[in-house]
Amino acid sequence: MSSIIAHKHAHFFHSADQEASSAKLGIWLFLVTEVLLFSGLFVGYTVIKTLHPEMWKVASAQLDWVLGSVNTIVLISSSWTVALAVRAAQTNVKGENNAKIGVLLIITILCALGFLGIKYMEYSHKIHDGLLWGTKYFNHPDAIAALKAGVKSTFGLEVTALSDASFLETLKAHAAAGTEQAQHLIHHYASTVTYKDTLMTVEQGHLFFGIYFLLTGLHGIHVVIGMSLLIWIYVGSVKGRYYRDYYTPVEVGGLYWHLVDLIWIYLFPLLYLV
Amino acid sequence: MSYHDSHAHGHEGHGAHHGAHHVTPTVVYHAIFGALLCLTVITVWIAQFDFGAANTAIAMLVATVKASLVALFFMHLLHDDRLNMVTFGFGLLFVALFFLFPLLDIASRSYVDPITDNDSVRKAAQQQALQDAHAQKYEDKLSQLSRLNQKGFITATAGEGEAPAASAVDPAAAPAAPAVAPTP
Repeated sequence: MSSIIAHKHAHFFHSADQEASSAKLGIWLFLVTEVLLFSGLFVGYTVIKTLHPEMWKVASAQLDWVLGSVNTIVLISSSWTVALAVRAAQTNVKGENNAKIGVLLIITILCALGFLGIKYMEYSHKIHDGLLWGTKYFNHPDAIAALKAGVKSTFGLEVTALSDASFLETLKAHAAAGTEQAQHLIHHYASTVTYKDTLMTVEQGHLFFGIYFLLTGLHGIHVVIGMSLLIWIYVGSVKGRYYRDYYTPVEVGGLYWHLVDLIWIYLFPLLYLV
Repeated sequence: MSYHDSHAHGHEGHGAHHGAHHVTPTVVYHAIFGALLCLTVITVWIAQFDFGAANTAIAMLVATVKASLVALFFMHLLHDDRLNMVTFGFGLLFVALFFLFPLLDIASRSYVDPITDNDSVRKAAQQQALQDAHAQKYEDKLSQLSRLNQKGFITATAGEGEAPAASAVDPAAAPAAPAVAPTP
């Protein structure tokens, strides 16, 4: 369908231009509130990371940077296609770009779905490992107390910090050398305190995963909302609603989607890389 | 919607009568996309090396360059009404303020071990010493007053010929003690 549906600006606006620039100022004001919403969690991130640098190093190493990188590329690509979709709408004179806008939006929506799919993989893996709050945190006080008691009775070692790498190495070396008690200890806590092949006994580690789930969860909600908006805009674009003189929904939806990308641009290195 | 009909087709929105409709050339979008991909590879690559605290700074620098590219070109802030940039800028200013005060708090803290900290013990001792010194001063004043009283130097000031009461130097009433005659 290569025709357009002419837009008539609302009667309380002086002109279509005034309507468009008001809508844009409105979305920018909204984006500011979004940034402030996220900044609360980013401040929490900074404070907790500064107070527990050692814990943070070990806990954040549990994230898969490959999945994070793939998701970054997926989101950047979607930002690119949505920007091109806005441009296609800006240059749409008689509906000749309708199909192009639609295809670009569909690619963007598929990117959003891909992002959510990868996020689902990450989440389910971590939830399975008991890293979600309220399940079986690896640093559950009872588990830590039992582990400390077991180490003391077996090896006569007073353990104050379970994140002490030398202690973990000692325990694993004993287990590898065939010391039955060490194997028993590792096996016994395998279900609650291990992740991958590492004995994860980082005290306060739940703080990292609390921040991780809150930040990525809030971001994920924004991905879902943005994707829903893009689907709605796609429907309009197929009908020929957006053209050179009226493309406010495409632009405003695109700005929202870019913000989702902006947040992730900071989230990715902060959680997965440093 | 006929007021746009006079626009020449293919002008790509350059100006006419409204700057808000600036159309960025496609090649700019492609270039920005390429730059964003390169910066992503760079930030992942740099993260392999351990520069200590500089790792976070470098990662944030790269992220800020990426975010600026997205905001200026993909989000059109560069060619848009300057009001939108100012609006967003003010938002970022408040984010900076939000970060400033918790960071000042953290930077000015020192580690305190609640169990073995000798500092807290020392502070408690200092506090006790201050209290003791204060109490000693009070005791001194009281004994001085009672000595004066024994020598009969204290007289009632507001009395109407009544004899000075010995209770004038009652410790409980000491703060409101009557005027004391100068020590001879």
